[in-house]
Amino acid sequence: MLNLWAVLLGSSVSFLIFFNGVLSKYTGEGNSLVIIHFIGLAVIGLIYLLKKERFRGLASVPPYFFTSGIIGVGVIFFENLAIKQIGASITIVLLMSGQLFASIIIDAFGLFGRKVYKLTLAKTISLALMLSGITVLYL
Amino acid sequence: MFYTLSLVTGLMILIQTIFNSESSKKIGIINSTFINFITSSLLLALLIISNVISFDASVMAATPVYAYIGGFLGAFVIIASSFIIPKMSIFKSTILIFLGQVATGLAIDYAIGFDFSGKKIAGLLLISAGLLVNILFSERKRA
Repeated sequence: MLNLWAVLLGSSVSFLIFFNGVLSKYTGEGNSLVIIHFIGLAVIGLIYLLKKERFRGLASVPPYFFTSGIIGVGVIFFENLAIKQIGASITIVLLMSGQLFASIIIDAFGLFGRKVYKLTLAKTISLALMLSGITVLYL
Repeated sequence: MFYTLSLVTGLMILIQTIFNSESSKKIGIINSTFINFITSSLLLALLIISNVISFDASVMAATPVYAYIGGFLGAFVIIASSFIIPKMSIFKSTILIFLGQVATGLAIDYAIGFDFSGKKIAGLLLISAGLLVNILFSERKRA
């Protein structure tokens, strides 16, 4: 059952990227960003109230974290642009690839103060496959 | 090009994920998500005030209701993943989420009649194979 929830989670991610793209098609880029974030803020605000969370320990949050909202706006904006041009599957697969490339590099050098995970043969093969697939797309 | 844009956006997503998880360790997922949305809203307010973007609510009248689902799913996914992912190995959750994402992406493209050329399919297959190899054969962790 938990497995099903995980699959549905992945499924929801694809749907949300798709529907955000639909919204941006109807309302334009700027409007859709505002609407999407307003809805998201309302939902999380509701959960906040329902769970009676407290704004505790804000000082312990690393300052760079406050840029994540800015990054978030950029992410949704670019996703909307991309999905309208190249479709859902390719956008989603490339988003995952971007994450994977970044995580392999971050791991290999231990960036962000994290543990170092050296480049393995499996990772190299997966990188080679992904890069060749991306090259094919560009052809 | 939009392929490059998607790759770069993937990098941005990962950075955001790392920031969020580091912050959640200190103040919890709900607080972190809330701050996340607050800062994005502040940015958007700033963009509207400086006329970089303009908000026109009247466009909402002609928009079908299902277009708004994305906003709801966004918050839902963040919250749900904080429950689901800790309950199974990173490896397992990654592959299941991957399956859900890719299968749904293909279903959506099929449903909307997206035009797949030969090289798009070939590229898609190769990239998916690469992702799969990484998930299946890499050590059991995810950034």
